[in-house]
Amino acid sequence: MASRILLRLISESLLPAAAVFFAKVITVVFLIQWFGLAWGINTLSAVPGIAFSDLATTIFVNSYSNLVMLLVVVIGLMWVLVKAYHLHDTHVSPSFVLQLLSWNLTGLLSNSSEIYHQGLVWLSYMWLVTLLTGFQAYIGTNYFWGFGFALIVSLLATWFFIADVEREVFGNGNSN
Amino acid sequence: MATLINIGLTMALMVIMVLPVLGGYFLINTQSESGVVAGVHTVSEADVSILPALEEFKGYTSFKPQPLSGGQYQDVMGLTVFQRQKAAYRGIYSIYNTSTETLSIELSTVGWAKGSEELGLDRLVVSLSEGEHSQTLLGDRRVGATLVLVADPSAYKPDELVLVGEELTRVVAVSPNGLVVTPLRVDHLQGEEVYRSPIVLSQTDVLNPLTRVIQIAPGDRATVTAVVWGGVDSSGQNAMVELPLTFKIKVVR
Repeated sequence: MASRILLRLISESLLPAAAVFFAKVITVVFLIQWFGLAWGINTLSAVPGIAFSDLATTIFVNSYSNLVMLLVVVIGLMWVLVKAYHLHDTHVSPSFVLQLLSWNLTGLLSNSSEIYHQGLVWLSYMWLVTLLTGFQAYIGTNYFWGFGFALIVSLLATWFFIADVEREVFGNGNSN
Repeated sequence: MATLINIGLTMALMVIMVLPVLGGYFLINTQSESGVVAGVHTVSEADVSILPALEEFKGYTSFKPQPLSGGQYQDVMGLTVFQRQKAAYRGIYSIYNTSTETLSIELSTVGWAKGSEELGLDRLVVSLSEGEHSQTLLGDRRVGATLVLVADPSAYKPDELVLVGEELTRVVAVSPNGLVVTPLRVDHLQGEEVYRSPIVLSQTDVLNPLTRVIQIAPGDRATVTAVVWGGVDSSGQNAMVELPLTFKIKVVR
């Protein structure tokens, strides 16, 4: 039978996929409009894409659109981490549950399956975007500081996620 | 059978994960050569001709031009500075639009390459213009005056920097009679030149690193004028200063 994990991962990845792609597109369009950049569609390339009149503009637009892509992924992952730390049904405090109940927000509480599937998806996207940024920095089409920022943010977010998993698996500072 | 299904699901997951990121990568074309991208025209040597005045000021100027690349032409312009005198190098560059599209041009500098700290120099100005190098004052102006009389005030814009003689000031408003500027700090005589948004340098500082952007229609030309005011140098010798210049040229869409 079809793997439930895979099916779950596929369903959880649809929203991040759309968010990442549209973040890139919207940022590129916004930068073109805001700065009045000269652009065209390069039909000579194997994959038609947007081309700018000089390399500096290309690097500028590419870098900032990658940055926005990363920020969208970070926001998604941050929400998962907030749920993991504060809304995880395995270690949410009873008083907080009562508070959520009074606000009619108990739907925010999440179980481990949901959190870790979502976390894995967002974490994967974050590292994909970071690797893309690093590759483009290496070939000279992305600012190096953009890659540096992406790397630091990715490392931090990964650690926070691992810390929550560790707390979940081994308990609060107690090892087996 | 289950294995095959799950392998298929794994592949689907990989595609869903990778596709938007790859889509973002290919969205912007980063591998095209300048000037060969369909729909985007980067200026090449076939579109513009930048001619330094090699003969007109022979012996008093020097040039170290770089080939036009990516819409930028770079040169190190050398000018002779005469002690206690003003030297005007009118038309030190002529820029011809040899393409079929309108081009925009802007000059910039990062500061002195060499020379200024070793001799007396009061001010150096580099001006870019479509036609006449500059306009002139139509009447004397005293300290504190705010109206500068020129023949064609409509050519100027509010908030632009202008050089009146050796004084850098800013246009506050444009009236049919002349330019309303921030109060002048020195007297100016009729006939002094008024330059629009020039590059301005003192002996030690870059007071304004950019000229205004001008547009040249196909077949038209622009000119660059450099004016230098020599000060007093202990050696009493005339000397040459060198100024790096960058011409940024783009096609106007």
